[in-house]
Amino acid sequence: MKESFKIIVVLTLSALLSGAVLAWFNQFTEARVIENRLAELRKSLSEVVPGMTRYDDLVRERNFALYKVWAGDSVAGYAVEAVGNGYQDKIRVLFGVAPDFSRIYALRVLDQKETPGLGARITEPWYLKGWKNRAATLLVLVKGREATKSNEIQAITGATITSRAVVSIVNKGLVRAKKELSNVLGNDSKGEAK
Amino acid sequence: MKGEVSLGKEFTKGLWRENPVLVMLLGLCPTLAVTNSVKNALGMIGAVFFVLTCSSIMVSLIKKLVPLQVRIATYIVIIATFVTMADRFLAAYFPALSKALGPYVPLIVVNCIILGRQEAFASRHGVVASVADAVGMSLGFGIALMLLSSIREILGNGTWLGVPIVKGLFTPWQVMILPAGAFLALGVLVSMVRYFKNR
Repeated sequence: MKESFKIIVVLTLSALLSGAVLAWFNQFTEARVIENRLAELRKSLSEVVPGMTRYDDLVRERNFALYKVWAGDSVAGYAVEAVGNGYQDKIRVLFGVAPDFSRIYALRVLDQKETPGLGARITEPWYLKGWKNRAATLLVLVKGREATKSNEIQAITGATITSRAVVSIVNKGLVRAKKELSNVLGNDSKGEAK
Repeated sequence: MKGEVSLGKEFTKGLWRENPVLVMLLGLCPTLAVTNSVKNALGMIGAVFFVLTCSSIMVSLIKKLVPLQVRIATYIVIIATFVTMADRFLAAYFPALSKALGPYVPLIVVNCIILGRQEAFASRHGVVASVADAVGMSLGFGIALMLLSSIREILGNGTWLGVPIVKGLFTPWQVMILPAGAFLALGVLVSMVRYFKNR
């Protein structure tokens, strides 16, 4: 009886102490952790939409996000964060779209675990350059030749699955973004009608 | 408790004779996972050094208060506390490194080197001897990780700590930074250590 009482006291005390220490320690790091995350998002957004000064969150989900990006007082465009299956694991990308959805400004890969030297080359500048100023319609992957039309994306040799995955993630992201925006606009006009 | 312990001996045994990775083959999960670059290895070494040393100090201080039946549970709570501190610290001040190490920092909680040292050493010795043991073991872990990550990064990527050093000498052998390369490099390293030890 005495022994089990001691066990309860020791375990409870160590758990309480551990919680207290961590709560105290968290004060010093929490603000910086959030700040880092925001700074990273800001940096990526300014890379995919030219002239970004600030942004608004329109949709924020685990596997999809839509940001309205401003340059001063005018809308510079939208940024879409989309996720999909790659060759090894989920690929997370962020791309900027013009306000009228006529074209994609640029694309960045936020997260990927593709094969180094093959699929992982989607993070390299020469590949990302192939995403500059593409038509924001249904994109197609071309293999073995340069992209000639504005809706074509050149595949990476030896990484067809990854290349195909990125194109499909962007296509799905575009469709979802258009749907979300028409909802938002629809709600706005209803609000105005009242 | 054992009588006099030689601090120097407790310190140096972790480096070679009882090296946790190369001789005792403990803590292989982080060893294999984070040695794809020297930078990641350094982050892991720092985190393990902090967690192991702090946990050993705590455990050796409270060893007489903890009932035998719940000692493992208590040690794990202590270790998890320091691991969470290390993890939050990395996330706040080294976000890129924290992202690269991913789940392997929180996983230090279940790293058998750390729990092993508490059970085998810190819970039976005084604070000073436990610190000597913990620092020695951390350094041994560090030596093993530096060897592995250097081999893998140089062969697999042609760089060391991100600096290109084999320009044009050979084509980087990409398999070395993939999981298979970790097993190959560790196997060769361990067999070499065995060879020299048994000679």
